[in-house]
Amino acid sequence: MCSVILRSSDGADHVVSQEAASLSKTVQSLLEELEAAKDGEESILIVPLPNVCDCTLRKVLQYCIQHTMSAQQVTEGPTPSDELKKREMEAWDRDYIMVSTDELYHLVMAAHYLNVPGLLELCCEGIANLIRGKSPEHVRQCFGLVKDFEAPEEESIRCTNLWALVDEKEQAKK
Amino acid sequence: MSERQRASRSTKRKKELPRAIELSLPGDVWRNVASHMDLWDWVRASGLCKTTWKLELDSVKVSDSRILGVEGARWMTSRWRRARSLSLSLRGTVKEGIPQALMTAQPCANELTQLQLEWIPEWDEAEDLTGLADIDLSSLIHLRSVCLMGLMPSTLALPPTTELHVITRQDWSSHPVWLSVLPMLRTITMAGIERLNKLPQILSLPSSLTTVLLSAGQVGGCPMQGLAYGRGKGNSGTRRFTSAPAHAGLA
Repeated sequence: MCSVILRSSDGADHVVSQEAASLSKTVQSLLEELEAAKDGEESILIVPLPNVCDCTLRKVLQYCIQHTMSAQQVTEGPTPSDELKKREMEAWDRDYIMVSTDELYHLVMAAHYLNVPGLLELCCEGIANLIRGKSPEHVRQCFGLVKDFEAPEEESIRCTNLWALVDEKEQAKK
Repeated sequence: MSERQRASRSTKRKKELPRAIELSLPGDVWRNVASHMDLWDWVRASGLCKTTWKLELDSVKVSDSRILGVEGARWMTSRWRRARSLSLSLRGTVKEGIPQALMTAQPCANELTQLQLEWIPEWDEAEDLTGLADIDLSSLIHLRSVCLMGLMPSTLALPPTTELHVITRQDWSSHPVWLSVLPMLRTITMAGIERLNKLPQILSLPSSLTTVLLSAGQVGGCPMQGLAYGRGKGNSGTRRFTSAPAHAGLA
């Protein structure tokens, strides 16, 4: 499998196998376009990614390379240890997503732009885990967010959501 | 605290604070985030910003209907127009009004492809107390998979292309409702069988069943942990059916 170069928004080049790069559907379609345009030349393809900085691209590629390697191991033939490998990958994913909120934000935006379905899913699950069980006020406080609601609008939302803001155990008793 | 210390702490705090994620995350990313949360958790988070508040959900999961209530059912139905997956777990005696709110909701969840309804009785209740007596899903033309767990509706109407998966009790397995949906029935699991002397009627009729799981204490005079039949599918801890009547019914 040949290599390609992915160029981040800040001009850093990352050489990666085409297979790993193609986990991104955006990159895959860009590669197809470049392939069609290169007219038989044997030069290495360079894919510019203006929306992803070097640091985030490095992290995205870490995911793509790991998952490509894992998929290769599985496709070489089903073995009784496939389930074990799957569990190992899940554990790897859990470690991988243990990042700061800021990093998670950049990662989810990159996964969305690059269209890497597995990574997007993983990031969204990470965000869900961060906000689960917290009230909007609590989430805003933790994340340093600013409301974009007017006061009457917020009051109307609070009233509509009141049923879910009551303590879970109290609700269950009712 | 000196001004310098205060300024340094403030700068540090700013560095630690993450970006205002809710202001810039696209709606489809929020939709994906919501699909990883129970409805109750999502409702609490939905007041974060305008995007989250107006978000129409892709996947709705309610793990305890006692928390839902009628207001919750209304909340859910107002955001399920484009939902593809709905999983609803009803517990104990379901509050009046919830089934009606779900069945008559406008807009209805027209885009649903997967539906899972589960009833978990609080005690050893002999009847289905979900209030979902007549389930008519025939208008949901995109529905591909329906899983009913512990429910015993009087009537059930499904689009013809739907695959039905049922987990039921042995004493409910002979109910005519299952016969009425035999062409759609793919999987049936029967639990709580004390002694299995003959196959339930539903298994002796022509159907599209691919998997049958029977959890029985005794089969004939032989104590068993469980039985399973599947086309090419094993099930650890269970034994595979090989008797002729089973095959006749499952072909």
